[in-house]
Amino acid sequence: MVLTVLGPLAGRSFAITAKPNLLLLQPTNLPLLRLSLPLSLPHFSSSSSSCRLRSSIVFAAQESNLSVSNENETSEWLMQDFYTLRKDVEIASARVEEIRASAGLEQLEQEIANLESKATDTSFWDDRTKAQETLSALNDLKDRMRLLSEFKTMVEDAETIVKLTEEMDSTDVSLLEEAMGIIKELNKSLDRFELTQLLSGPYDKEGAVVYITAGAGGTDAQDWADMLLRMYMRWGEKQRYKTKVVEMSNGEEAGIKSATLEIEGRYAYGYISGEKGTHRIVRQSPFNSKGLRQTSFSGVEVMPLLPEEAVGIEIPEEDLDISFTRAGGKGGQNVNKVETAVRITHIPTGVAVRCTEERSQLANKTRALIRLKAKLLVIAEEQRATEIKEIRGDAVKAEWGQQIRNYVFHPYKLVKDVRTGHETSDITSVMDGDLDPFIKAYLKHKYTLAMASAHNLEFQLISFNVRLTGVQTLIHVVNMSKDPATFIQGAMPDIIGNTKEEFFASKLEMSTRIAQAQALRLIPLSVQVKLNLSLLEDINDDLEFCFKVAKESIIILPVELELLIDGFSRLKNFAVRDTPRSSHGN
Amino acid sequence: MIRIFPSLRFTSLLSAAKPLCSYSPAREPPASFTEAKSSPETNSLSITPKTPLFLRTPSHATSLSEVWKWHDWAKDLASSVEESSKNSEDVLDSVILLRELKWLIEDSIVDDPLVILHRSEISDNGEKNVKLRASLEELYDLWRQRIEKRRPFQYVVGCEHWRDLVLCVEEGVLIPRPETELIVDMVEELVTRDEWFKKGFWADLGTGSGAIAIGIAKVLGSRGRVIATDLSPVAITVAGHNVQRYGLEGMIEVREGSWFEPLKDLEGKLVGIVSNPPYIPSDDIPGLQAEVGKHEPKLALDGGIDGTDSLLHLCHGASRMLQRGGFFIFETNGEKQSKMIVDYMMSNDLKDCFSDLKIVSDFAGINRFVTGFRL
Repeated sequence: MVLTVLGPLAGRSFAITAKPNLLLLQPTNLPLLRLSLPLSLPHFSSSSSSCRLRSSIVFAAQESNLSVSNENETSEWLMQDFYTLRKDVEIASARVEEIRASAGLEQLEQEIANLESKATDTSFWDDRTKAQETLSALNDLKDRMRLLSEFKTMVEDAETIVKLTEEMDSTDVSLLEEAMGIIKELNKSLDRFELTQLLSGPYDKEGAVVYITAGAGGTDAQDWADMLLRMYMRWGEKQRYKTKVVEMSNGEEAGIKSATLEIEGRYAYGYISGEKGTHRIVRQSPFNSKGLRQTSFSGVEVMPLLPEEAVGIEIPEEDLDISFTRAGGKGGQNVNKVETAVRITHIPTGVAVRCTEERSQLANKTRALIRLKAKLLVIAEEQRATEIKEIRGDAVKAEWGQQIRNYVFHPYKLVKDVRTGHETSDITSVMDGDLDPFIKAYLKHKYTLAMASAHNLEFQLISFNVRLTGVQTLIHVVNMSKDPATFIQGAMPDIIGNTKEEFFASKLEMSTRIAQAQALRLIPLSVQVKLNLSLLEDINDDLEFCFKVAKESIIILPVELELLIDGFSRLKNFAVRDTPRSSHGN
Repeated sequence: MIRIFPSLRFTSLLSAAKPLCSYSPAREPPASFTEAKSSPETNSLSITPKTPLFLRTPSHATSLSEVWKWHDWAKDLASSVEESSKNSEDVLDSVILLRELKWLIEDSIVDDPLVILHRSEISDNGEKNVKLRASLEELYDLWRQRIEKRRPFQYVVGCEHWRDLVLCVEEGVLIPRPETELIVDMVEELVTRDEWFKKGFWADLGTGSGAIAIGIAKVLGSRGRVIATDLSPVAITVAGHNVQRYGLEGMIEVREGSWFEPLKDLEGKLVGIVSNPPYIPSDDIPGLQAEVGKHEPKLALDGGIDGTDSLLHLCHGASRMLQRGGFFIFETNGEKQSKMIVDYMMSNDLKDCFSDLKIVSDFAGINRFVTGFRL
C-alpha cells in the first residue's frame, strides 16, 4: 500500500512526499485532491502487521514541509501494534472462512473418499497411466485439504493469542510477535493458495520456454534483451525453478540478439505466461557517449514446456514451411559448417519458431516442431478454438507485438504494466527478478476478464462500492450488464457502527458482504471508500483501516479505488484515486 | 562406357595424410592417378578408433577459475577471427565458433556447463573444482587447433551429431553432412510405404563413419540387413565402432573393399543401395573451405575430373547388384551433376535398367540426390 501517514497525526501535521508521477493539485483550489494511487493488490502486499508503515509516500497537504512528530511511548506503540494485530487476525480469519467456504469442504471430502476407494480396487493397477493420474489427483486433493485445515489451525492460534492478550493486563511482546509471525506466514500461504486457484489453465502446471528477442535498435535493444533474460533467470531462481539458457545468440557489441530460456518446475508456465509481449525500456543509453534518452524494445514469447508425447496434435505437412540454415555455396561435401538451425512457420497463422541449440538438424527440427505445436496449442486456448485450424491468424499477428510493460529508468524510475496498471518505482528489484506483484496482478486481471466474459457481463459497467462514511459503512453493489437477463442491481443494507469498536466489528460483516457479492458473481471494478474524518478519532489508524477495507474488497482485481475523504475540511480535503486503466476504456 | 577406378579412393587417402595446401591452379592430374599402384593391404594395420571427448573418463579435476580463464581466452580468440582474415573469402564465423565453444564445453565437462557459460549468475568465486574429460592444457590446444589450424570442430570433439545419432568421427573419415540426413528420411518414407524393402539386403557404399548405414538400419526395424563397405581401413574401424555403439552388429555388417567388390555374394540380391560417394570435381578441391580441404579425406571428396567417376561406377554397379524393384539413392554435387547422372542412366547400356529416375533437392533447394528403381 502506498499511501501512508507517518506517525500519529498529533497536532494535525502531515509529512508529505509525493511520487514524481503523482499529480498534485493545489488543494486550496479544490475540495478534493486526487492522487494517483498505485494500488497494491489486496492480499499480496504483505499483511501489514507493522502499522508503522514503511513506504515513503504520503499524501499532500498545504503546509508541505511540516515535520513528523514521532515521540510516542513504547506502550502506545504496543497498543497500536496490538490493535493492528487484532485487525490482521480478524481479516485473516475472514479470509480463511471465505476460502474454506468457497473450497467446498464437503465436496472435497467426498471426492477424496471416492478416489481412495478407487485406488483400493483390485483392478486399479491394470491401467498404469490411469492409476498414476488418479493417484496424482488424489494427492492434489489431499494437499488442498491439508492446507485448508492448516489455515484454520493457524488462524485459531493467532486468535487465541489475541484473546489471551485482551484478558491479560499487560502485553506479552513475544506472544504478540508470535501471532504476527503466524499471520504473516498465513497470509503468504493464503496468497499462494489463491494463486493456484487462478492457475487453472490446461498448461499452467507445466514448465515454460521463454524466448527473448531484441527488437530493432541495435546494441541498446540487445542489451535490453540481455537485461530481460537476467530478470527472468533471477525470477526463476527465486521461485526455486530450474532455469537453463538453452540457446543464446550474442550481440556484436553487447547484449544478446535472442535467447531461449527453459524454466522447469510446477506452474512455471502459469505464472510467467503473462509476460508474453513487447517490453519497452526508456533510459539514457549507456552505449551513446552523449547519453541520450533512448527507447528500446524486446519481445518475449512464452510457451509451455511440453513433453513430446503430450503435444498430441497433427499439423498437415503442407501447412508447414520448414527452412534450414544453408551452409552456403554448393553445400554437401563442399562445406562443413556446424550450423543446423531450423525454422518452422505455420503458414495459416504465420506463427514461426526457430531452433538452433541442438547439434543436429533433425534434432533441431523435432524440437522446433514441438515448440511450434506448444505455441499453437496456447493460441488455440486463448482464442477458444477447439482445433488448430480454427485459429485466426490475423488475431495472432496483432497480439504478438503488443506492448505490455514499460520500464522507465530515466528521467524517473517506474515500471508500469499497461494491462493491469500495476506499477512500482523500485525498478532495481524488478530487474532483479521481483516480478511477483506484476505476475499476480496480471493473473487476477486475466481471471476477471475470463469471469466477465463467461457471464456475459460488460465488466467495465459493473461497480462495487464500499462506502465508509464516518462510522457508517455502506456497501452498495451495482451490476450492470448489457444483457437484461443478467442485469442485477441491488443495494445492501448499510452496516452501521456507532462506536469505534463497532466500526471495527463492522469490517467482518463487510467481508461477509463482499463474499456474498462475489458469490453472486459480482465483480467489483471500482471501489469507493468514503470516510468522514471528522468523526474519527485516530486518523492514522482509520485511514489505514479504510485502505485495508478497500483492499479487502478488491479480492479479484486491482480495481479502481476511489478514496474520498470528507471531513478533512479543516485540514485538507483529499482523495486518492487509482489512475484509470486502459482496459476500462472500451 | 564404364569407368572404374578401384584404387582411386584408396590412394586419395594417402595423399590426404599430407597437408593439402597447394592452391596452384595448374591442372595436374590428381595425385591418385600416379599413386594408384599401392595395394590396400599395406595400410590395414590394426587401428583403434579414437575415443571422442564426451566418452572419455572425467579424470581432470580443475578449479573453476582456471576453466573460466580458458573460456575467456577461447571466447576472445573466437571473436577475433573475423578481423584477422578479412581478405579471404573463406573465413570463420565467430557466432558459429561461440556455439561450437559451448558444445566443446558440454562435451568436456561433467557438471552443468552453465557453471562456465553463465559465470555471472553463480555465486562461486571459482575455488570449486570441476571434473573435465580433458586436461585444461589439451582444451587450450584443441581450441587453438580449431581456430588456427581450421581443424573441423567434429574432429576436435571426436563426434558429430547427426539425426538422432552421435557418431564418432576422426581424421580419415568424412564428417557426415546435414544434407545427407535426407537419405535416411527418403528410405524411411519408402519402407513405411512398402514393407518389402524391410526384408532384403541394403548396401551403404563408402560408408565412412557408418552414418547412413546406422540411420537406415534403425528405420528398417529388426528384420533389416545392411552391408556397409568402405575402402578406407580407418573408416572401417570407425564405422564398426559406431555400429557397435548403437548395438546394431546384428543388422549391419561392415566390409572392407572398394564399392561393390566385397558384395560379390549379393549380386542381384540387394533391395536397396545408398551412397554418398566422393563427387567434388578435382579442380574444386584446392578451393574448398579449409576445414574440408585441409582436413577431411580426399578419398571421400574427390570425384575425379568432373566429380562423377565414382557416381558412374555406382550406376553400373546398381544395375548389376539390385534385384528387380530395388531402390537406390545417390548423393551428388547437385544441379548439373544430378542431371548428368540421370541422363547417363537413361542412355547407353544402362537404358531400360531403371525406372522412376528422380532428382530430389536438399533443404537448400539444390538438386542433391538421384533416386530410382531397378526395372
